[in-house]
Amino acid sequence: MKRTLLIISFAMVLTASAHAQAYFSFYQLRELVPQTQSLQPAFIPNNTFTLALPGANVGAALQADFQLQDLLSKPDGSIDFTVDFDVLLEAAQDVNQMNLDVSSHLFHLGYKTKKGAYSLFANVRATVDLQYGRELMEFLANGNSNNIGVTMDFSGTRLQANAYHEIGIGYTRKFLGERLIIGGRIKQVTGLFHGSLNENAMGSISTDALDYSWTIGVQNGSANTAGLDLLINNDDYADNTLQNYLTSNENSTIAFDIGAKFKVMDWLEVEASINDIGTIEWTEQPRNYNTEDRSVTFSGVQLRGLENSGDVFKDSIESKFSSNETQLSFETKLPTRAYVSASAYMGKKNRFTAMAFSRSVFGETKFSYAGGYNRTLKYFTVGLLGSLRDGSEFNVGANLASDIGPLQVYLAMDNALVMNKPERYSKLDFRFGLNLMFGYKRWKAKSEVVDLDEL
Amino acid sequence: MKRGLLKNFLALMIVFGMLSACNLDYFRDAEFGDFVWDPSLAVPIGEISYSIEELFDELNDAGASVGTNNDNIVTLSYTEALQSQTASAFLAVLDQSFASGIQSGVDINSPGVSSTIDVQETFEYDLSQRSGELYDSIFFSGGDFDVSFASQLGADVDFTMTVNSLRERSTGNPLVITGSLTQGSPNFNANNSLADFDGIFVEDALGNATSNKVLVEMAYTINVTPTTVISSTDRVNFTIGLTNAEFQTVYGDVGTGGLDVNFQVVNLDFFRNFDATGIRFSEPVFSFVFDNGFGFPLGIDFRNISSIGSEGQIVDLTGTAIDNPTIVAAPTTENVGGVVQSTLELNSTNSNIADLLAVQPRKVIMEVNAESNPTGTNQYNFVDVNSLLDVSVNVDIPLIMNVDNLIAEEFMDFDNGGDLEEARRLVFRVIADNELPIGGDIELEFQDAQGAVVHTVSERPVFSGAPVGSDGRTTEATVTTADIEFSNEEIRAIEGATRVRIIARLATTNATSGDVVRFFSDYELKLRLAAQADVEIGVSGN
Repeated sequence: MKRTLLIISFAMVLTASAHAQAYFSFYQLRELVPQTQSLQPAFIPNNTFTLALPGANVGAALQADFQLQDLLSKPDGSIDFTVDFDVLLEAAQDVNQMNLDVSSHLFHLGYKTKKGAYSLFANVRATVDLQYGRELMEFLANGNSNNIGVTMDFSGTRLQANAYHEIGIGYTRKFLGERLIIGGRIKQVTGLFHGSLNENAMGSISTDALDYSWTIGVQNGSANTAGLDLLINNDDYADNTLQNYLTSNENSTIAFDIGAKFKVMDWLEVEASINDIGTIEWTEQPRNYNTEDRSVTFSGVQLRGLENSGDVFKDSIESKFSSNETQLSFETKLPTRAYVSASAYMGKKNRFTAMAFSRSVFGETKFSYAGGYNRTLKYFTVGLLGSLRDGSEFNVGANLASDIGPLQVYLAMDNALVMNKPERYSKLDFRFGLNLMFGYKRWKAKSEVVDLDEL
Repeated sequence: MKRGLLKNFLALMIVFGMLSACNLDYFRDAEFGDFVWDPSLAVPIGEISYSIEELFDELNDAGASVGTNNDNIVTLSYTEALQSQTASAFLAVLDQSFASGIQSGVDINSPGVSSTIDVQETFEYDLSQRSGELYDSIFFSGGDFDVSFASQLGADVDFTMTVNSLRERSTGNPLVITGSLTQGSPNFNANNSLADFDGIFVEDALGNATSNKVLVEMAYTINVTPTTVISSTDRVNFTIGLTNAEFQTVYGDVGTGGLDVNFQVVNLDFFRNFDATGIRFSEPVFSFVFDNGFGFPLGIDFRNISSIGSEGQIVDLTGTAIDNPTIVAAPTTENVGGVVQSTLELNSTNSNIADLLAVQPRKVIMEVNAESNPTGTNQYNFVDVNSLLDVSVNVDIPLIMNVDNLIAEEFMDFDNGGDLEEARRLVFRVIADNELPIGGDIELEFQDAQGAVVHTVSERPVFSGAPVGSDGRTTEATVTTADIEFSNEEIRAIEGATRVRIIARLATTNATSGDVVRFFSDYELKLRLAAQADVEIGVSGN
């Protein structure tokens, strides 16, 4: 019991700085749900044959540094939502991040053998990562009147959005008498849509204290997109161009997921995986919007004979920047994710897990941590997971997967309390799916899991 | 088995309990309302620069032109034209006729033989004039020369009239009229167009040089028959007449006579922008430019030059410049058709012209008399049909002045009310970089279409006069910042305004000390406009 408490305490400490979309809770469904191979390729499904119902496996996660009620605020006395930059500013930190991850498992076919497992899968995924500094929100909320005579620096602003589909195969094999399991997946990733700002983009605006003239500085002011012109201006293209593009295009690359799990002791298992190793070269439908590095001062316009002042102001500012649009291919790395976990099995039915997650985005690797507990029951596996993000928001996750028969239902959430006043949370996520499972436990040895209570 | 089922059930209940502990009150009945963006933006609007010329062009209602004088000082100029009567109105050849007769001088009573008797006589007439003109020659361009003859003689007569004063222009020969007067047809009439002749009136019948004389030689031959009876007193009468005579050029002495010059009122619209007092120009100049096409000098008498001030006060022009008639030179006979220009300048040293402008006159009245040969005929005169006296008046007001507490006002259309809909608070900042030696406090009155004041921005300094150095030029630009704030209520008030009355209280540098400043043309007033705007931009969410 003491060991249990120690492990739980250790897990809770680790959650103190949890960040980014880790799908910790979904991870805990492990061998029971074959789609967890997208997080850990070394998982071997319990069932011999697995078929995911097409389109019936979806997941989404939205996570930000503000609560939902900050984004969808309600003015005093109103029941309707609005987006109020003042509220968002109040919630803003020095650096703020928001990310969205949407996955749809279109197809998954798994087959388990004595020595491992094979899988064939197809997914559609989309990710959006946004990072902005407090000063950008300050500008949006209050304009620049509160910062006259100083420079507002927007250099921390980052944006990257990707949408792609992936088709691949996976293979998992046991070694060392099943103490070591290594898995890998190779997949063809086809980029569909992309939008990003240069990771080194810097921008600033300073307002002169006397005449309010703006000095606007831009460095590395470039943005890349792919597929968006086709999406937005579809009418300018021939029929079926968009459809053909979505089906197959040249923004294709080979990517890998690899993972391993090792049974250190009978009751202790460690795992590691790295997913989405690869780089997409966007060669079809690329667009590059580039602005010359420079600092310009806008002092207004010549008022003599001024007509159509709106256009004149716009033209005056634009004329100070030299920009161009090119169609050069560019590369973006997939947002690589990595998991490291250690699981302690307290008997056959209880598992405590401490895990770490990292995700690379904007050239930085961010780490998250979690601690969880899962209980295997006769017909279900259920689990609880705790996380505390940024020291302010404690999330309790839960997961559930049926283990009844050929039809499997699963649901996992890192923040299971979100339905109780969801406006107070900054993280919304779920994984849900239906699978057809056959040959349950056919290759599973009786003593595969050690019951620690019996030791 | 039962224990296992219970555990399954409890575990499920815990998980579903967590999931089902729903409280979605925040989202109940909620829709996306209007998105409201309410930043406060400090923006540079722009700048506008005024040179002195442009600034006073703005104040001027187009009556004046704004330029620079030789010292590069900005000058307001008004030009008005006065014109004399035409030459034909000034000088006219009167309709006139001369009648004479020549007696036969012989008594004949049936002489029984045929013979001829010649009779001849030269006649001298004075041209009739309106006054004391003495014409030497008239180059006619129209009119009639009529001649009639009547014989009392009891015989046929053959006559020849030579009009020495009318020379055929093409040949130079005098006009000769011949004819016969019979007993059956004793009368004879003739008509000639004067347009073909030049009148020469410079000799008398004795060949002496004179003026204004018309010479006619009359000669006739009496054809005597054996039965002719003639008394020595029987006459052949004739009458010559000039009617509707028109001239191209007249030479001689036109004498002393008045030339009517039209009355003129100069509207000094510039001053309409200002209040009654507070501005004094130091060196204004009225320049009268006379373009004289008449062939005689003119004496100019400024019968009346006076200004009417903004409050109706009248100031008459006085001074040495107008005490004596001004002599305007004339072209000589070698320059018929040309003009000679003379200029008379009225300035602060020879007149009280500064006083005329000190009342900020709306109008200046100018009435001028012109008189020919004011000092006698010192120059051979001529009048050409195209001769004219043009008088142009240039009112030049160099901006060398003292302005002290001068109130100026200007109206400006205001059609930006619709643009203020999303503004909740505005602070307009006016930054004046002023090289001019004049400063101003500004008050703004926003008025609606009926002229009612809907909001007033109280008077405040907007630009300050630049300091003046020893050379009369400003030494540096002064920078003045003025903020004009509008609250939400005030913005709502001016949304309905249609025009702005701008009231400026102006003073030149060191005006209270009486200093006079000069406005050089390279001075500039640069206004930079900026604004802090608290806006509320709403986008409907439904």
